[in-house]
Amino acid sequence: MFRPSKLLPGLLASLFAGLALACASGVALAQNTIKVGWLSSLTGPLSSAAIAENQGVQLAVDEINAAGGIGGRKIELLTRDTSGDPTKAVNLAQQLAFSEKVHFIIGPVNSGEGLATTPIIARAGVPNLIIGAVDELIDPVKYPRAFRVINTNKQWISTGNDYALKVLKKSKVAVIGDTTGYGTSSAKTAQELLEAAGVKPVYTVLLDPNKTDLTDELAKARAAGADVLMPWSAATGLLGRLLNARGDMGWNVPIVGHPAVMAPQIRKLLNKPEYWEQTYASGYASTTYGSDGKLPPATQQLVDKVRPKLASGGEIDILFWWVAMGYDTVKIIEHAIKSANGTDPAAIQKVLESTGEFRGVYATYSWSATQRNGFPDSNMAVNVANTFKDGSFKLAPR
Amino acid sequence: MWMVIVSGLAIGALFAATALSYNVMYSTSKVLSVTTGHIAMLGGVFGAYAITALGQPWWLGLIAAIVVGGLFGWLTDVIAIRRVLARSDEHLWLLSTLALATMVQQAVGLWWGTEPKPFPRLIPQDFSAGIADQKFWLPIALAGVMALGLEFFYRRTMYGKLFLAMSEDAFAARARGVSTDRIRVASYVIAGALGGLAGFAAGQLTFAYFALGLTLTLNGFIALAVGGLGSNLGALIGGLTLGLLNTFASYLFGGEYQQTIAVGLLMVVLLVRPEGLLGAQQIRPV
Amino acid sequence: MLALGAAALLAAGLPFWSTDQYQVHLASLICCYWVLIAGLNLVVGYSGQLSIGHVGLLSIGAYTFAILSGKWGLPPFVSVGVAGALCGFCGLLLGLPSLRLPGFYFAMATMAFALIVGEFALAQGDLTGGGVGLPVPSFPAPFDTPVGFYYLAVLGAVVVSVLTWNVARQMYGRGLIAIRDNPVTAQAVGVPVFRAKLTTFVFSGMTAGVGGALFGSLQSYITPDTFHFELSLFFFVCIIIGGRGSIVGPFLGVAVLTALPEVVAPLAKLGNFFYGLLLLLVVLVVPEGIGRVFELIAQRLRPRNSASVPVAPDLPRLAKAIAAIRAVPGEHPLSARVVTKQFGAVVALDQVSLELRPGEIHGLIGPNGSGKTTLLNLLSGYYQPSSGAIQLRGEELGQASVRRRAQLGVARTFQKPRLLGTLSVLNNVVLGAWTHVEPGFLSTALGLPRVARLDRVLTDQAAELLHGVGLSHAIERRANLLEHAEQRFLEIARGLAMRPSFILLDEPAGGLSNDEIEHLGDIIRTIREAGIGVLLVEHHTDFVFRVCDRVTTLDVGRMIRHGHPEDVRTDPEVIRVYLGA
Repeated sequence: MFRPSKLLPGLLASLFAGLALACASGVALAQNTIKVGWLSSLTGPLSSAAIAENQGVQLAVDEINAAGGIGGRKIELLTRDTSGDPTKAVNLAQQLAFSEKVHFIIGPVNSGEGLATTPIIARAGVPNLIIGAVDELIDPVKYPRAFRVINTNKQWISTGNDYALKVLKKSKVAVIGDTTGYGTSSAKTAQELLEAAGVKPVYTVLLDPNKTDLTDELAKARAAGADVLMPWSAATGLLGRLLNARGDMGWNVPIVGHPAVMAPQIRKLLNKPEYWEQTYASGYASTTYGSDGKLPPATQQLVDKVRPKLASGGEIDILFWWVAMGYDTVKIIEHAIKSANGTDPAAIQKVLESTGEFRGVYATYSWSATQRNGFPDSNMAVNVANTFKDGSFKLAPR
Repeated sequence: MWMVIVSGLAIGALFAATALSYNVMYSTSKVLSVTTGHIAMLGGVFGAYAITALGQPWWLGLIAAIVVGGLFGWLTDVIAIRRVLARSDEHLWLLSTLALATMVQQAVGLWWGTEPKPFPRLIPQDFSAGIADQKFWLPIALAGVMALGLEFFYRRTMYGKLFLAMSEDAFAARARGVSTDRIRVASYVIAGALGGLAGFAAGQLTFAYFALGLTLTLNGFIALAVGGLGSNLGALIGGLTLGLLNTFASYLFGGEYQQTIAVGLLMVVLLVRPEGLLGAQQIRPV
Repeated sequence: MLALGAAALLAAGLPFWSTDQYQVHLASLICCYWVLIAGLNLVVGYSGQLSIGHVGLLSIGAYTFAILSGKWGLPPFVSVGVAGALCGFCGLLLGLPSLRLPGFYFAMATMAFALIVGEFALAQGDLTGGGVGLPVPSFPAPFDTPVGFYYLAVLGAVVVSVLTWNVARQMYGRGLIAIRDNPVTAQAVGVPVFRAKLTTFVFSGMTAGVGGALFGSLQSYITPDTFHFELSLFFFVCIIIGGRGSIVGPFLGVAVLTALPEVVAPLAKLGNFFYGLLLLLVVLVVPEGIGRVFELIAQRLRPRNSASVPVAPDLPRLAKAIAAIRAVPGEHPLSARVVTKQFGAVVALDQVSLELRPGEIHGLIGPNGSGKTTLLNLLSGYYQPSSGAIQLRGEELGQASVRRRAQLGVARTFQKPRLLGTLSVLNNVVLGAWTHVEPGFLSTALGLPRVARLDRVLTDQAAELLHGVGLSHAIERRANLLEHAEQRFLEIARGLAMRPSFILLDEPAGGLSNDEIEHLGDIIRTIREAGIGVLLVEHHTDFVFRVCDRVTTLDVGRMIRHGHPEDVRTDPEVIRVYLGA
C-alpha cells in the first residue's frame, strides 16, 4: 500500500523530531556561571518538603550572588520539577548532566526518585548532594561523588527507638510504614534495628499513602498488644489520618516516629486538636528550643533572614529544618568550589572527602574517603509534636 | 466485625450509586461513559471546597455538589457524546469520554492537590461514633433513596416513561415524536446531579480526592457488570456485594490486593453469566 | 517503506549530528516506547481493540528483565527473550476472556489488569523489591554505553516496524481493519475474528515485554511508581493521535509527544491534561488522526478528478476474471429443507424449502416482513434454523458458522452495503480472497516471499474483477468516497473474490437507476454463465422476472409459490398478496 501521500508525514516526522531534539538541547552559550541543578518535586507527593527546601536553596543562592558569587562567578540555579515521578526525574537528571552540563546536582527530594537518579548522575561524574534518607542512596565505591547532607534513615529510626524503648519504657512495638520507596525501606530498617536492640515488633504493616481508613490496621495493632506505634512514613496526609484513627478509637497509645508526624499541616487534618497529644518524633538539636526558650544562634539568624521572604507574612508554617537543609546544600557547594579552586569534579570530590566539621545551620558536616554520610549523631534529638512554633519544636521530656 | 460489614456496605453504596448513574446515561444513549466515576469525585471535591475553603454552610455545599455534578453531566453530553453519536464509529465515544475524564481528573489534581483532603463533618457528631458514624450511613441512605427515587421516576412520571421508551427503542420513540436529543441531555444532567450528590454523601468516607474518579469508574462498572447492565436493583446488589468483598478481603488478607479481588469477582461473573445477575439477554445484531 | 528508510537513516546518524547525550537518551526512550507501541498499534489502530492497560505488560517486561538478569544473573539477551515470551503469555491470559466482551468492558478489563500488575509489583516485595524497586542491569558491551544502547534500541524499533508494516499492508492487515470497522463484513469474508484479535493481542504482549526490558535497562532503576497508569494512556493517545490504520502516524505520535514536554516546559506541568485535551480534539475534529490531515492536504494539492463516471461493466473481462479465480464449479445445490425460524413467539419462517442450484439465478420475492432476509441469513449462517436443515452438497450446514460457509463458497452482499471506508476500493475486494489465503500472522509478519507473491496475484485478480464490474475509474479511490451504485457493485466484486459456488444478493438493485439495473442484470447473468448459483432477493419485480430462471415467493413466513417466473408472475395468490392488480 505505497502511498505517495504517506511519504510526506514520514519525512515531516523525522524532521520535526530532529528539530524538537535540537531545541531541547538548547544553545550552549559560553558562560562563566556556576550551574547548579536542583531536582525538586515541587508538585506531587512530598511537595511541601520540596517547596520548603527550595526556599532555603533560593535564599542561599541569592545571598551568595548578591555578595559577588563564588570566586567572582555567579551561581545559576536550574530548578527542575520532577513531580515525584521517577521516569521524569531520570530524564531531568540526564538533561541537567548532559545537556546543561551542570557542575553540581542537589537532590532529588524523594527517595524513590533518588534511587533512580543517583546511579545515572554518578555515571555522569557530576557531584551530587543527596537529600533523601534511604540507605541505598550512598555508596562510596559505586557513587563516589554522592555526599549525603540529610541525616540517614538509621539515625532517625534509632533516635526514635531509643526514646520509645529507653525513655518511654515500651516493649511491644507496632511498625507502620508506607508503600513508597522510603516507607518500604524504612519499615525494614526499623525492624532490623529493633531486633538488634532485642525487641521484635508485634505488628508491622505497609500502608498505601492514600489510604483513607486506617481503623482496621490500628485494631489489629491493638489486638496484637502494641504499647507504642512507630510510623516511618513521610506522607503527612497518611500520618494525619493515623492520628485521627488513634483518637477516634480512644486508644491512648504513644506515637514515636518520623518528623513528618509533627508537621504543621497536620493540625488542619486532625478531627480534634487533642489527638496530637502523646506524639513524639525524631528531630534535630538545631531546630529545638532550649530550656531558655531560644533557638541555637545560627538557626535564629537564618529564621530572621527567611521571615520577610515568606508569603504567609512572617509566620513560619513549615518545618524549618527543611529550609535550613536547603540553605546548607548551597553553602556546601560554595565551600567545595572555593576550596577546590574551581569546578573540576575530581577536585571537588577530594575536598568534600576531607571535609571535617563544616558548620552549617542545619548541622555540622563531616565526610571522609569512606564515609559519605555527613550528618552527626550528636545533632539528633526527640521533639514533642504539638509544640510547633516558627518551624521548630520543644525537646521531649526524658 | 460489624465495622467491616458497615464500612463495606458504605463503600458499596457509593459503587452502587455510580452504577445507577451508568444506567441512567446508558438508557438514553447506549453509551457507557468513562466520566461516570468522576462525577462523584467532583461532588466530593466541590462540596469540601465550598464548606471548608469558602466557609459555606453544609446545605450550600450540598447544592454546589449537585450543581457541579449536573453541569459536568451536561458537559459530558455536549463535548463527548453529542457530536460523536452522530458518527457511525462506535469506538469514538469511548475515546471522547476517556479524554474528558483524563482532563477533568488532571485539572482537579492540579487545582485541588494530589493528596486526599479531609471532608467536613456535615451533621454534628462525635468522632468516636464507631459504626454509627455518618460517614457510613449517609452513603447507604443515599443509595437507597436514589434507587427508590429512580424507580418512582421511571414508573410513575411521564418523563420517566419517556426514558424507558427511549432505552427500549430510540428510533421508535423518535418516530412517535419524542425529542430524543433533549431526553438524552436531561438524562445526563440527572445522572450528573445524582452522581454529585452521591460523591457529597460519601465524602467523609472517601475524602476529597482527585484520583477517586478513575477508581470509581472502574469499581462502579464492576458493580454494574455484576448486577447486570440496565437493572437498577442489579446495580444495588452488585455495588453492595463488591463493597463487602473489598472490606472483608482487606480485613482478612490486608489491603494489598484490593483491585485484584474486585476484578476477580468481575471475571468470575462474566465467565459464568456474562449479562450479569439481573441483566437482560442481549440479542445478536446483524 | 521510503519513509521508514529515511527515518532509520536519520536515526542511525543521531549520535553523530548531536553531541548531546541527553538527546541520545531521549531518542532511546522513544525507540523503547515505539517497540511497545508498534505492537499495540496493531491492536488499537488496526483491529480496533481499545486496550488501555499495556503499561502492565511494560511493567512485567521490565521487572522480568531486572529479576532474571539482575537478581538471578541470566544473560541479558536471554532475559529479554523470556520477558517477551512471558508477556506474550500474559497477553493470552488477558485476551482470552476479555476479547469477546464489548468495547467498554474490554477497555475496563485492560485497565484493571494494569492496576493489578501494579498491586503485585508493590506487594511481592521479596521478588520485586516492593516500594524500593530494583536496579536494572545494562546489556553487555558494546551496548552498555548510552550510544551503544541507543543502537540496540533503534534495532528493536526497526525490527518491530518491519514486522508490523508487513502485517499492515498485506491480507492480514486488511482483515484486522475489517474487524475494526465492520466485524460483520470480516465474518462474511471468512476472517477468524476472535482468533485474529487474540493473535494480535498476544503479539502486542510480546513487543510490550521486549520494550519493557529495554525501557527498564534505559532507566537503570525501576519502582512500581515508574509504571503509573498515565503511561498507558500516553501509549494509547500516541496511536489515536497519530492515526489508526497507519504505521508512520503512531510513530510520529510517540516521537512528538515524548519530545514535546521536554521542549515546551509548561506542557510538562500540565502532563496528562494535555494528552487528554489532544485526544479530545483529535476525536472531535479529525477522528482518523493527524496523519489523515496530511493526506487531506496532499489530496488538495493533487489535481482532483471529481467527475462522476457511470458504472460500465466489461462483461467479457468479468467472465474471464471469474474463470481465472474459480475452482472447480460445484454441482450440488445449496438448499433449505423445511426450515422454520422462530424469534421468541414470532414465527419468521414456517416450513420453507428452497433449492439454489449452481448456474441458476433464483429470485426470492415477497412483501416486507415475509421472511426474505431471514431466509438469506439462515442460508449464509447468521441465524440457525429452529427446525429443518440447511444443506450444501448433502452436508448439514446447520451449525456451520458464517466463516465456515465462506470457506465452503457461500458469499453474500448486504442490504446496506458494508464496506471498509478507509481502505481503497481495490483492497476491499482483495479482502474477499481471505479464505483462499488463510494468512497466518507469523508468515505475514516475517514477510515471507510466498505470502507476498500470493498477495500480488490476488490483487491483480481483484483488479480484473473490478474492471469487469465497471469500477475501473475508482480502483484506487477510498471506499467511503464511492457513490451508492458503485458501492453495490463493489460488494458484488468482493463477493466474487471469495471464489464462491453461490452468491446471495440482498436487494442489490435498491437505489439504482434504470441503466444501473440493466448493468446489474448483465453482471448477474455473467456470474450465472460461470456456473455460480445466484440468489436474488429483490423488490424490483420486473427485474426479477426478467433475469431469474426460477422464483420463490414468500408471504408472512410461508412459501406461497415457486417455479418459472412466468408462472409465479401470473399466480393469483402472488398477485393478491404482493404484486397487486
